[in-house]
Amino acid sequence: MDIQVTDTSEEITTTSEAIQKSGSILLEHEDIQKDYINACISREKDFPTGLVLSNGMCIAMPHGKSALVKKDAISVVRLKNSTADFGRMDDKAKGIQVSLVFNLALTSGNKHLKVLRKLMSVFQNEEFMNQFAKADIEDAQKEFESVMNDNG
Amino acid sequence: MKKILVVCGNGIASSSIMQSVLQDWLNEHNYDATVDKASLMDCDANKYNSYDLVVSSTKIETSGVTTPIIVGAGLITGIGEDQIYDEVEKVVK
Repeated sequence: MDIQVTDTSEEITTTSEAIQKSGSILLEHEDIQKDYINACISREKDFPTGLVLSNGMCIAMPHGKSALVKKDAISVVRLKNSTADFGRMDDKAKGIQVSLVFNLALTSGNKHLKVLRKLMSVFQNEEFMNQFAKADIEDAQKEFESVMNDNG
Repeated sequence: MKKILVVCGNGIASSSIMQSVLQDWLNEHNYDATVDKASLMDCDANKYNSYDLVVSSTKIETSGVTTPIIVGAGLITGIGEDQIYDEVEKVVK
């Protein structure tokens, strides 16, 4: 599982800019085919993935078809100087201001369920999420990698 | 046996999470029910109506659906999951 946590100081304000950013990192690491980025963006229009977590934090988990994924990966982008407008998964008419983007790239198969369950427990762990949002980038990378690769 | 359908945008991430969480809950509470998943784009009223309950990541605006529909995004965030399980329980018990 390829895990990349990146900070950006760019003024990213739209769903499309946010996914361009997170997706470009997946592309650099050869996790995806180029079209995956646009697939994620266009999917967001119909079925947005923005979520408000229990600590009030707004995140999004854009993803697309497995056919365009080369290897399992998550590219997390922390927006430092702006928030990006995403639709809410449970009600696409409502927008939220996202500061953390979890761009998923998952090949098909059973392994991906395990990854998703872990990700869900991360999202529900307020302490971890608070810490993760403000930790130094090296620590954030290390901590997220360790919780996602934990086989327990 | 009751049949539950879990749906999300493309049947990849959100529905997989909801399906797995829901199946665990049903097993834990000894309810005998099957949980299938699908993409919203592949579903019409007939498909929904062939199930006893639909759990969707988002609002469903398809007309002619008589099966109860629950918005289940809370199974991912943990927010309001008790209400979701209450609704599920009404159908499966």
